[in-house]
Amino acid sequence: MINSVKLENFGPIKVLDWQDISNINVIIGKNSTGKTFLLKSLYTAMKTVEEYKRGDNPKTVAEILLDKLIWTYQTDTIGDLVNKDFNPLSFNMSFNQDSLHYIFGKDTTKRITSIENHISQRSSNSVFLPAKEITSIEHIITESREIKKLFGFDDTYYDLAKAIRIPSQKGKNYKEFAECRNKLKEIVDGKIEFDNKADKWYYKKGNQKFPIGLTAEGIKKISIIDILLGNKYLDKESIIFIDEPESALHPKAISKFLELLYTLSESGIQIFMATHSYFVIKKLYIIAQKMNKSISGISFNDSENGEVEEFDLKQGMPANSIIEESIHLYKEEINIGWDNE
Amino acid sequence: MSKIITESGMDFGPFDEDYLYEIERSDLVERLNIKKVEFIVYYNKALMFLEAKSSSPQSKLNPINEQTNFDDYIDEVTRKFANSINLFFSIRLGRYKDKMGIKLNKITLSQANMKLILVIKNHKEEWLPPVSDALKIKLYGLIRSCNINPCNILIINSAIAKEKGLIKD
Repeated sequence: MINSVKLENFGPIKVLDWQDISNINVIIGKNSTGKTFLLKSLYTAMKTVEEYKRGDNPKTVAEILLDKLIWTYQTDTIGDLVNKDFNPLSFNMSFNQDSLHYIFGKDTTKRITSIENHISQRSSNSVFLPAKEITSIEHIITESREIKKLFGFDDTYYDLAKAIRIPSQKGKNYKEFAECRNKLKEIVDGKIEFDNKADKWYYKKGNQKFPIGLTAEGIKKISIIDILLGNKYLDKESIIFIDEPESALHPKAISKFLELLYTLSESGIQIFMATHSYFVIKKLYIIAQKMNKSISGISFNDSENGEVEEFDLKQGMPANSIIEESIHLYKEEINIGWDNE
Repeated sequence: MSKIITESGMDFGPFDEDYLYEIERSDLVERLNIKKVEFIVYYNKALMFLEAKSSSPQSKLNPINEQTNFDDYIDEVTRKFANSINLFFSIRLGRYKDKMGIKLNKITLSQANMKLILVIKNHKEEWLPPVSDALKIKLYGLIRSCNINPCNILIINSAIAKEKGLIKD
């Protein structure tokens, strides 16, 4: 698992030194403070480590990382990722106590010269679940990336589109994974399946099959996990990055989805999520209390000063902009009520 | 004459006694054996039904698995507001007689700007919105039937009550 991460001048993040990373981790903060930037930085690092020396891949770590950064952040040169006021960008991640470290400056375009990787080769896969579901546009993503080579769908989408096309694998799955798949089936009241003959995704409920276009966004989004557990793309060493798990989900479904993610984390999978949702943070806090487990988090408090706060939901709810807004709305209502004549 | 009312460790007022009905200390209510708010007062151009609490389920050390307590708490406060409103109207209609501030007994009810206020002592600000939301849902029928503005249900802590002048400095 990822043990710690230290970033400097990475996009909007001036300094982040996150030491106490747990199995489930949450990133909160206002828009444009760096939540998705951080998720993507960890994702690109993990994918680089995973693709390095996999099969007959001849590319060096630096080449893979460069490619990953360009296609994940979709920027013409990776120098654009360096904070506009400071230089250079530095990334340092500890994974199972080994490290990946790289540095580059604003003028870097085609080569990362300063990179050190001590993380062993691994067969597990990390996955990034973007805010939008992808089953209904999977072929468009693939075509746009493989044939037209266009920016638009970044690597988080493209990698996921490739991952879900791996056929479902027969045979026994881990007990926790089977449990999760059953829970998922309950939440979505059916399952999403790929029909090889029709070359299309369908939502199957009982004996009925519905075109993917007519299927609710939330169902399609949650079902991605089922597909990835079914085709064994995910294993107990995988890391799941989730951007806005709340999007398209009713608060009740959010709660169930988070319980399921907790079960996955107990099996060994590490989870990082970025959220704006009161329900997500509150439910994670309740899970931490109920299970007496640490759920670490980072709160980007102020985009101007780049202030970052570390917290553990086991110790309580942190002061943060989501709760602050809930109090702000409450106070607005109190003032209306008090001033009503 | 003005009066300060001490409830749940907080000093409310001072209020003009002519506009006050201390329902909590009423013999009639004692006999009726019903749950009721602390007092009813016409103050700041509003007819206020005020309940004071020294704690809430969230105040306890372990807020988890307190669902029953929380529901009981919300139910109890709802009953107190409902009973007190009914009793106040019953007295004003002459169905009961009780000692009530002389001016409060004469305010025009059709125009009265009714406010239901729950003050929880030293309650953290971030704990207030869920209590407020839960109570508003529970009180929906009551506020609709009495034509009370939903924003006039005010769930506040002692700090906000002080800010609004309800609690003495």
